[in-house]
Amino acid sequence: MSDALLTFLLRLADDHLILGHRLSEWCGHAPMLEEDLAMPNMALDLIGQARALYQYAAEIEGKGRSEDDLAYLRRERDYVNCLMVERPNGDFGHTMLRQLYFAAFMEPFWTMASTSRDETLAGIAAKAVKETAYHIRHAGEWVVRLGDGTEESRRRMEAAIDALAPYVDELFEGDAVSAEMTKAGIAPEPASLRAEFDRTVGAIFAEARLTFAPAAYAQTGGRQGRHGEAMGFILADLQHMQRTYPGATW
Amino acid sequence: MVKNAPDKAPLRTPLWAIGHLPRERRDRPSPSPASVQATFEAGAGRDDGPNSAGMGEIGGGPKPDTKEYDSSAPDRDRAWAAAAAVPDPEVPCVTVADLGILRSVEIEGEVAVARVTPTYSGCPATLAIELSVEAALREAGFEARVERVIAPAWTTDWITEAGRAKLTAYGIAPPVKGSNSIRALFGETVVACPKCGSEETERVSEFGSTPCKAHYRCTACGEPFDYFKCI
Repeated sequence: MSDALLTFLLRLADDHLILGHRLSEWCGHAPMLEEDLAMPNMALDLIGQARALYQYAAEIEGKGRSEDDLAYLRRERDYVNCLMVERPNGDFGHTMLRQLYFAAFMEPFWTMASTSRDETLAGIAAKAVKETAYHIRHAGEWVVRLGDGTEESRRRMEAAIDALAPYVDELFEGDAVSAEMTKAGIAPEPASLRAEFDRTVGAIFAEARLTFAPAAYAQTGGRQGRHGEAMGFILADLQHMQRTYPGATW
Repeated sequence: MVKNAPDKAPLRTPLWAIGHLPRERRDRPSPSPASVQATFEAGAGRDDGPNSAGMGEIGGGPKPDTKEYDSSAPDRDRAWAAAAAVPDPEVPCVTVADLGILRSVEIEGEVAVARVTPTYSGCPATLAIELSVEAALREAGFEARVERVIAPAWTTDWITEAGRAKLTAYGIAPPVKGSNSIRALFGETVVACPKCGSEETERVSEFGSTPCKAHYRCTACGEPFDYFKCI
């Protein structure tokens, strides 16, 4: 049980750390000042959620590792985030679409997890669900603005839909770990969140006059630690200081 | 617990120099059923690492003399008053009590234990607030510990009336009351200008100078202002 709970918490924490890192890459590079504030703000939310999850995971593991050890000192194959969050940012529209997808997946997850039998997870979820709703609104508004915008912005949103399509299905994958969490009343089965995801994204796409085209194939493997090329570069950036100066503190 | 003032541990400032933290404090786990208390007291579950000893200990130094103490209720009131007066580092016009993030202060044995709730998951001020509360308790003569409580989750409805008035006077529009539900996040709320009171305002950006604020503009008087987001 605690093995499954640990894996489950690390998957969730890794998703948030890696996507938070990706968003933080926009700091100083966003197309306008407001977005230059918005992107690190959302990154802060995600990394804050990741911290709470890593702290809890470290406690569950009980091997004396800290949140920092879990965030910075594991090997690539030990990270169990989904592949979508590690994808490169692409253009602004691509980043906003990825944010919408992830938030539309997490919002029903956090909503259900806020009534989890696991009190710590329920506490994290109750806070995160409102932050996630805010992200849906923000990313959704940009998807509408760009999708129903100029010819060029629309072309870019359609390209983003195609580029991210292979990574959508992995969000809803289930396995023995998710089954155990569901059985224990800790967290919902990912597949059960698909209907709500489709509703949220569908409503925004309708307003943006965009159409979701499923990919001919779906990428998978992140939950088992099999990552794309991008992951190694993220970890090189994330882990550089701790690897170079082990145990360094400010 | 009261101790004699003269041998009070020296306070070091600035208190929110987040970079200079002892590792064990930064690694403090989120509160969770029962286990956290045990972890803190037994010192278990920590990995201080080879380099952590003696690195930038804020609030360290000589421990206060704890021989004389009195755990009566007036002590708790005094401890509460000391903790409650701590200002928010990012919005210094309001205190932690005004914001509703100071959940409780209890005297447990020889230690004043303050329980504090973060506003946002990623609020960078959370640690600074915890350290400031701990320092305030020590300065008031208590041996102190601060615990982070995340459930039930804080909402902007916990900001007191006094806190709302202080925010307005400071030029920050307080959150629209009762609008902290998820549904309300998507609805249009009317935010009154903190300067002229006009409701002719418009949102400039959903994300303002801190995670808890959005950026607005008053179209009546032209004043740009922060709005404390509802969450």
